[in-house]
Amino acid sequence: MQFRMLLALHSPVLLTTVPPRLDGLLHEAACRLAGRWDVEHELPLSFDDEVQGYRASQIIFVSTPEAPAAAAKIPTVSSFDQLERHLVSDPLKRIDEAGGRFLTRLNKYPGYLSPYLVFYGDGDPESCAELIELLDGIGRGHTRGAGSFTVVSVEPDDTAGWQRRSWPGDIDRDLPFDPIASQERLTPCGEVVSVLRPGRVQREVA
Amino acid sequence: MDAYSRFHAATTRLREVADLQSVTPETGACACCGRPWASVEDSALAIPYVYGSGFAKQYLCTTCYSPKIGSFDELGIGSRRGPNKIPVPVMLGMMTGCGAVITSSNQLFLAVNEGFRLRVEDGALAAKGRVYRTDPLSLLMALYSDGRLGDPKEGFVYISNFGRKSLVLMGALRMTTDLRELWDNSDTGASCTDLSALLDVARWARENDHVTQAQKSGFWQPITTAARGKLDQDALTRWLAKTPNARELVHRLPSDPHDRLGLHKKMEKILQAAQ
Ligand SMILES: [Zn+2]
Repeated sequence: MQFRMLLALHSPVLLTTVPPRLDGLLHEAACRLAGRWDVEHELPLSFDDEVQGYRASQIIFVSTPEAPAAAAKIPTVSSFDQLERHLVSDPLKRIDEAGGRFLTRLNKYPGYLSPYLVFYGDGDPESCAELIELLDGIGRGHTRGAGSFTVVSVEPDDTAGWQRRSWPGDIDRDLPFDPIASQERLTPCGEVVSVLRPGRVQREVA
Repeated sequence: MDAYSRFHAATTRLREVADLQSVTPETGACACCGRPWASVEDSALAIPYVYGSGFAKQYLCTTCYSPKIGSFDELGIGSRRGPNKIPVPVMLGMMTGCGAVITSSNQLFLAVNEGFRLRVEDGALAAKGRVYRTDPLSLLMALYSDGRLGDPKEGFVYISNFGRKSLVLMGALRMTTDLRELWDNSDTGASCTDLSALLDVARWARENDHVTQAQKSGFWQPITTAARGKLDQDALTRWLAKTPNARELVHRLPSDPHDRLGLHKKMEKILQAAQ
């Protein structure tokens, strides 16, 4: 069944170089569920031969008439190797983003905040929702609170929204987006190949 | 080719004259880019590096180390230190406020500010006509319009600011293959910009006689406020009513809110570079 999964977003998402996709997120959740990261897990999604991957969309930011998709700057430590050890190991020492010796080692990364996120897919909606709830967040820095979310609803959808994802680079058909050439995996554990995908920041109005 | 191999090829001269003391690394991968030693450009060669006293010894690949190589021949004299005025060479990694473009044929072009222009003008790179007194985005636009950049699909590297933290710059170096996703590399990491949309907006400004307005921050206020998360529907409605061909403009605007911040400055660089 084709579905639309709506997530409430509670903290800004730091997009990875390759924008997160539903199948990748569900695979990470499946790894956690099984406690194994060394094998490929089966996902509750339909496999599409033409796309050579699961029917699962890229991340889409959803704004409302009241709240737009907004830019947010997230200060993050650029490299732990470059912090003096005694400063990191002292639990009472606060990492100060405003100044001091930490400032030079912090970077402000571009984050995105919108009221909701949406993923489209084709498969078992309930299992997908249960799986994705095992994750702390989406994108970079999810272990430190970035991209945290809760599932709001999973509803049937017949708009073929799952097609908003990367396709094989040599595909000969019209795609429902303005394609950008990139190098990515078509399945969570596949090889990196030439693909065509939508722009990094996909938006929708609720 | 990827961003690292382009950067490596473009900085070959720096390493040749530097006489680097490379060693066999004791770690599995470069401490900066994280690539295993077998896959870096100068395979299995590492430069030992210590960030400061009290820090662990790290091993960098020759590509990541290149911004730390000073070169009188290529880049000129950066400063004179101490009472004896000992000259110190310029290194790419200390060129704060300066950027670069590495074209698809691996040629290095520098965009420098006035302070660095004087320092690098005696270097070999300047003698080859590869140093411009301009900002990096204007340099990119110039190289793109006169064809020296090559076909963007072949891939080029854009550095908007070498800054001071060259390890952050080199740790996430990305190549651009599509102007809709221009990877902007700097010492605060890599970020992505839709240059194609910005060029479309600039075209709108020219077509609708808004070249001057588009370079003023006030003009974009309702758009930038929304990109910061505060929506003023009334101001937006008024703005749409008074802006010519507003629908078309809104359609051309980049969809990334980060690209919508500081639109007037980006327009200034693009519109002035094109003239
Ligand atoms: Zn490296």
